[in-house]
Amino acid sequence: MNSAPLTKESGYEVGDLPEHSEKAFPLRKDFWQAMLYLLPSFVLFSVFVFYPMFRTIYLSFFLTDYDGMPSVFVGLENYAYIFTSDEFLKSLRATILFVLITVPAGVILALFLALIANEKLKGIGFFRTIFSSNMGMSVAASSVIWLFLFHPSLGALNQMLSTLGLSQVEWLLDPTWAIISVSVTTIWMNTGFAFLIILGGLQNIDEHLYENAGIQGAGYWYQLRRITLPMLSPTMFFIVTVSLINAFQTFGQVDILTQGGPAESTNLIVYSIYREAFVNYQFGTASAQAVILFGCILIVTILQFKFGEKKVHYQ
Amino acid sequence: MKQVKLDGLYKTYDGTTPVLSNVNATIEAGEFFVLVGPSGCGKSTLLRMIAGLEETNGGAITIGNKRADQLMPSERDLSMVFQNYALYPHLTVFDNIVFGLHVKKVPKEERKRRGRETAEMLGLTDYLKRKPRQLSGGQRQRVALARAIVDESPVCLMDEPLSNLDAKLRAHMRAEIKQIQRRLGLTIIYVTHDQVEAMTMGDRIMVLNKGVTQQIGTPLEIYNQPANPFVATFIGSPPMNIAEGEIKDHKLFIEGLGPIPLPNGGAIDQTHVYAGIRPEAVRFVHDPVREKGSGLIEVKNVEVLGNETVLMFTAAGRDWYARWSGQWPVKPGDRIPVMIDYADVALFDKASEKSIKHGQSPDVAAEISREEVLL
Ligand SMILES: Nc1ncnc2c1ncn2[C@@H]1O[C@H](COP(=O)(O)OP(=O)(O)O)[C@@H](O)[C@H]1O
Ligand SMILES: [Mg+2]
Repeated sequence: MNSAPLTKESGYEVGDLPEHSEKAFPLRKDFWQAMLYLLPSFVLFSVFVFYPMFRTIYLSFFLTDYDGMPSVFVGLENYAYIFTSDEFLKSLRATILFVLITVPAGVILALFLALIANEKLKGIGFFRTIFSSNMGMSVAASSVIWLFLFHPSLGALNQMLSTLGLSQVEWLLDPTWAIISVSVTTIWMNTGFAFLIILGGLQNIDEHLYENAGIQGAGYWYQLRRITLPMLSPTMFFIVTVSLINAFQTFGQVDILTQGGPAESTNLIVYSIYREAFVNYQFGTASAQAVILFGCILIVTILQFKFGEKKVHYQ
Repeated sequence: MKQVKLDGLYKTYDGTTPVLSNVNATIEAGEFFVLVGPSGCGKSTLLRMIAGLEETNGGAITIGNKRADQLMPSERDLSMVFQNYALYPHLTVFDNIVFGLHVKKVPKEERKRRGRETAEMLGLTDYLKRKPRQLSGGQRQRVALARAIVDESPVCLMDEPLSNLDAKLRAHMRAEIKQIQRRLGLTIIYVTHDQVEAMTMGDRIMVLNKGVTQQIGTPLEIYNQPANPFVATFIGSPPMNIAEGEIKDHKLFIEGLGPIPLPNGGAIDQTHVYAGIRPEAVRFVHDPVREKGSGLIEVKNVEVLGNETVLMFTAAGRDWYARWSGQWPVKPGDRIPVMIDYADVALFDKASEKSIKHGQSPDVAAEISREEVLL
């Protein structure tokens, strides 16, 4: 930012720029300078985002060989195929169900934890640390922990149920329970991050607003409804958007907990793409699925910005 | 409209160092009471204790006839204006103003009427639909005031409400707040570090330093009869000149000035004193030889303010000020004869810092009775 006037000054007054044209167009040097700064991220994005993205779109119009090289151009046939494929439609339904479970429940849980952790109590720092600690755990490690918890006979959950005299649950083996189990795992894994962000948002709210409300006689719930939630809306908007995108992209916990089963009930779309590409070697249809996923996330994010943002009070 | 009584208030944040100790005051119903003191002396803490936002560690607060120090803030029946205004950024000006009425479930029609009336009183009618961020600092300040007075709480607390405004607007708002207070008969407890605000707004002033009450009195009492050197130097601009002095041979000796003779029968027991002289009591003399208590000073700095001239010089190792009305053709480096009348000198005991003798009221106007003025 500061470099613009500086360059101008040196260009005009000190005259250390040899080319006359540089003086006439002082912006031009800034432009190349800016490009230079942008170069690293531009290269990284190109290699890891833009190229794969266009390559995926390209591949989705082809049949491929085992190495993922395009062999036969088939136009939109891959798309036609997956939209008539039971497996893909089931996967899409499972994904939507999964998003509808994990996003609201995860955000509300994180909001609740942040609200109680924002109270000024002795030793509250301990709870803040605990609530955000699972942020530091990898997907693999957390999934393995839950794998143990869900174990039909040795798992803590079933042991608890039997201690309480309740019948045991086939957490990962029953199709209805499996999607719930994966959702619970996901909610648990994402809570730390959402909690930390929401807590930060809460602490950003001016304490005096609550003090004034208290003096004027507003109780806790009134303050929550008329001060906290509106003031927190930008943070909540951010968390909901990120959680939505994350939920659509869930992979690791499915791979470790259920491998998409039982009966494909947890075959979420990214896992389905993975299987299509690296188990069935159908890179063309896998790419088509990936493009559909991209479209879904794009549409949801646009809708979220269009309708969700209206309710956000930026300061 | 309600009395507020503070009885031996004590406050500590860390359990050992007192932030406030033994604060006593009775704020009368309908009084404009100003708490003034340097930054960090505990003014906000005291105000927040009255509001119930900070717990008291000793003593009692009575509001009206009710013991209040254990009550919730909402039960104390008061309103508060914060230094940063604490407006709700997501609510419109109107909703900000009627926030408290909404909380108290005042019917919608009445809410509207009272909100509009208050907005009108503060000249906010055109801004009711705006959000706070679309207002200037002065307008925000008015919204904060409106929100406080629309509740019709009998006691209103204000914590440096004007300190974020520019000087001109501040002077304007001083007068406006004062007028509203008179019109509504509010009891206002007003915190400021600005002695001008204290002098111009307060019916009575309480000067606080390091959590200890220095003096309580009307502005003129505080100005004319300061209880100790701290009050003497804190109130008044430029501040009262203070120096160590010695009383010998019926004369007051101050380093750098000529000896000031005591009048007949004006003997003082103490030898070591602090002498305080208001800048306006350092007078120019035409004939230094004949006038007693005169001396030559060397001018270090001159500020000509149009209607008055302020000179700075050094006496007893400190900066002293002289303030003369009119425009004086004086330059730094000039040596000027001045004199000090013993009657103008305030004396404080050096050990206890207690007042021994007040200086006479510097301005003639103070000596004129009200009856004479009104003729
Ligand atoms: N919440 C707090 N915790 C600990 N110390 C505080 C707190 N609030 C104020 N203090 C201390 O109490 C003293 C008085 O503060 P304050 O009442 O804000 O002064 P003022 O309003 O007169 O500037 C200061 O020394 C300040 O550091
Ligand atoms: Mg303060």
